[in-house]
Amino acid sequence: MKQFWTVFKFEFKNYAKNKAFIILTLLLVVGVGVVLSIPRIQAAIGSKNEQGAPTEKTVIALEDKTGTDANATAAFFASAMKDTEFKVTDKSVDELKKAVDNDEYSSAIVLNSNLNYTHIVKNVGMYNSFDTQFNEIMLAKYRSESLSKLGISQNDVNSLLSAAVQADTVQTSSGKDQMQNFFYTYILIFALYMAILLYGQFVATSVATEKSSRAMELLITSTEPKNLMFGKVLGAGLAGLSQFVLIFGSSYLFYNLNKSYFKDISIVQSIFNMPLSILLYTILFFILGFFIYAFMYGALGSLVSRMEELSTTIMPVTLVFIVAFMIVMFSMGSGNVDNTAMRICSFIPFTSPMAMFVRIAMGEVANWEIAVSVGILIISTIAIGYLAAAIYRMGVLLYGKAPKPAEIIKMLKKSKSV
Amino acid sequence: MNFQTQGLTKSFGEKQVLQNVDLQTQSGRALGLLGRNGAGKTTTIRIIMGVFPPDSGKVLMDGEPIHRRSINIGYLPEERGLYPKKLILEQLLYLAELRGVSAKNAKASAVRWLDRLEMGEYINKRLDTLSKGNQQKIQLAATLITDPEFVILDEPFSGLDPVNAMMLKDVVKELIAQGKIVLFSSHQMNYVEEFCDSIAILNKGKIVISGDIKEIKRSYDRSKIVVSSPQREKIDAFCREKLTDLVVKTSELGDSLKIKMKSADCKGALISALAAQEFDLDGIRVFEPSLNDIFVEYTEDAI
Repeated sequence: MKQFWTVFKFEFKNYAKNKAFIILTLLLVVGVGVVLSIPRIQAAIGSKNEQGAPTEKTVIALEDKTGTDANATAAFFASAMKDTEFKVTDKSVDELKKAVDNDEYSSAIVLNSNLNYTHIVKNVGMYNSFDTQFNEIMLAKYRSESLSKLGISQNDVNSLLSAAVQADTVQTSSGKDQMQNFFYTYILIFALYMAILLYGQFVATSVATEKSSRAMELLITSTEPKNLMFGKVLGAGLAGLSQFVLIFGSSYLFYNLNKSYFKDISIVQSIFNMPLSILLYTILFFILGFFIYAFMYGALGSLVSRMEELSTTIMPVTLVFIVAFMIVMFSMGSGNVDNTAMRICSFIPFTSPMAMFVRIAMGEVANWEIAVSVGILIISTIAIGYLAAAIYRMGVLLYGKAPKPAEIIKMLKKSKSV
Repeated sequence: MNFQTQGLTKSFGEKQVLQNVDLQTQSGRALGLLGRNGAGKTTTIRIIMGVFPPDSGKVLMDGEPIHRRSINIGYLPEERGLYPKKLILEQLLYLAELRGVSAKNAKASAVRWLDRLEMGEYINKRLDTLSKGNQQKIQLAATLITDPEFVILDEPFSGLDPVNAMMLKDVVKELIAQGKIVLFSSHQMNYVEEFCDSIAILNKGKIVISGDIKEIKRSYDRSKIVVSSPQREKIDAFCREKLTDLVVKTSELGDSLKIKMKSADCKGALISALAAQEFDLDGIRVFEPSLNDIFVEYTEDAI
């Protein structure tokens, strides 16, 4: 046990003293601070702008072929669309095209009939909100005019057209609001993904360094391999967890500093008002998910003889992990996080840290399911830990080509039987 | 303490690497494990260190199976390696603490060994800034930092310059004088001869000869004598022409002449025959094989 602590301290210090690690953590903390201060900064800049000149209006050419009063139509459109000026012209379509191309107008509209228009633009943007908005206005104009023609008074027309339904959704106390949960679950899953991948590879690199520098033989003759493997993985785990806590803690701090600026941004509010139980589950799944992968990465790291082989050797584990991540992400996107794939994944130890976590946060999952999933995960993590230590011990003798899985199993069996 | 291996046998796949290896030594003595490349020296040492188990056979200390965690063993692996990017003191302390030395004692011991090996100035340097020979000395400090009772050195001399080799030799002699068990492997016979009491020569995984060096030498038949004389050629010719009933063969041995006689009993007759011719004789002695000769004799037809 004492030796385990020696390894643990040594490994943790490796991270804590590592300049890259410190700089990365600081950058992330500063980044989070800047992002969470953006509304405050925007507000500061915005208040200056309001005192200056009003923003320039968009100018749109309007050609009315419907035969009604073109100027009245232009006035109606201008009143409906803020910051937009409609200039009446009688140019031909080709001339308008040329004018738009020369940036004389930002765009041009040719009204062919009451419900038909041509919109001449230079660039078609990805989010074309103008057309939808303009269609609404055209429709409103058409309806109001048609209703007036039928002899209904202007007031009645207005109240009819502006009628709106009011709805209130009342949520039961045990239910979940997927919309709200989505954002913090997304952020936490992403953090989980990054942390496991990053730290798992740190562990693999650290083991591979010991092997390629041939320090391993001295280490395994100095102490039990399980001390080395568990000390190394737990040391890295603590480093990762403290980084996690530091970043999320500082973001909580920055959020509270800028709280008043986030009043109207419900997404951000939903993230920081996440239930405590979710946070605790995050930590639990971070720890278990991290360990199970770190042990696998550590075992694979001990099979390579040169650093260059490391990335190809650890690829299979990384792929399994990425597939798990994809399944979880697609399920989250589809809105149904309790589908069959997710149900299965939430009990497989390699996928359950993410799958079960998402189901807890966004789906419906019974307590016994959580207990079984966590139980399976804990048992397999410990089993893989011991297996990794055994492979690590064997790895010291394997130089040259990395062995195939079948060969590893054979050697493990042999070393156990003696 | 009495260290012993009994019938160590090991094969990797089809290849039998060790076959019934018996070794024996005790406190205050050094045992040299000799053999050509690939003879099984490192495999033997790794089995002793518990890196992997033997297929059969035992490693015993005072007649009991060895407890590697309770006996303080200092091990210098053949594959040298520490942490290249770490400070020397830092990794020495780590390795000492792993082997159960308290942080305070480890520090004192690290400083003492680095000074002893003239490495004191590098204590806060990174390992990879040192030359290979100096890294080797750091490795030796890591081996001895726990003040082990049993020291195993696998090819300790490889990579050292003559001055450093001398320093290592002195260190090993001190260890022997302090009553430690020293086991080391080498194929550099001159060093082995200097401080080893006993040797074991491994060839193709088998011990071909083992025991006290002096006894091994004495066991060679004493039918060869070495004659030092300025008149070497004359003596040579005389032996071959006139003393055919005593001499089997003559050959040069450096500046001297080696004469193989029909048997050790012919010694007196040969000496009186040479004396009667009034040759200018500087010295006559019985030829004893060097360790090198013995080594070559037992391993020549190998591998």
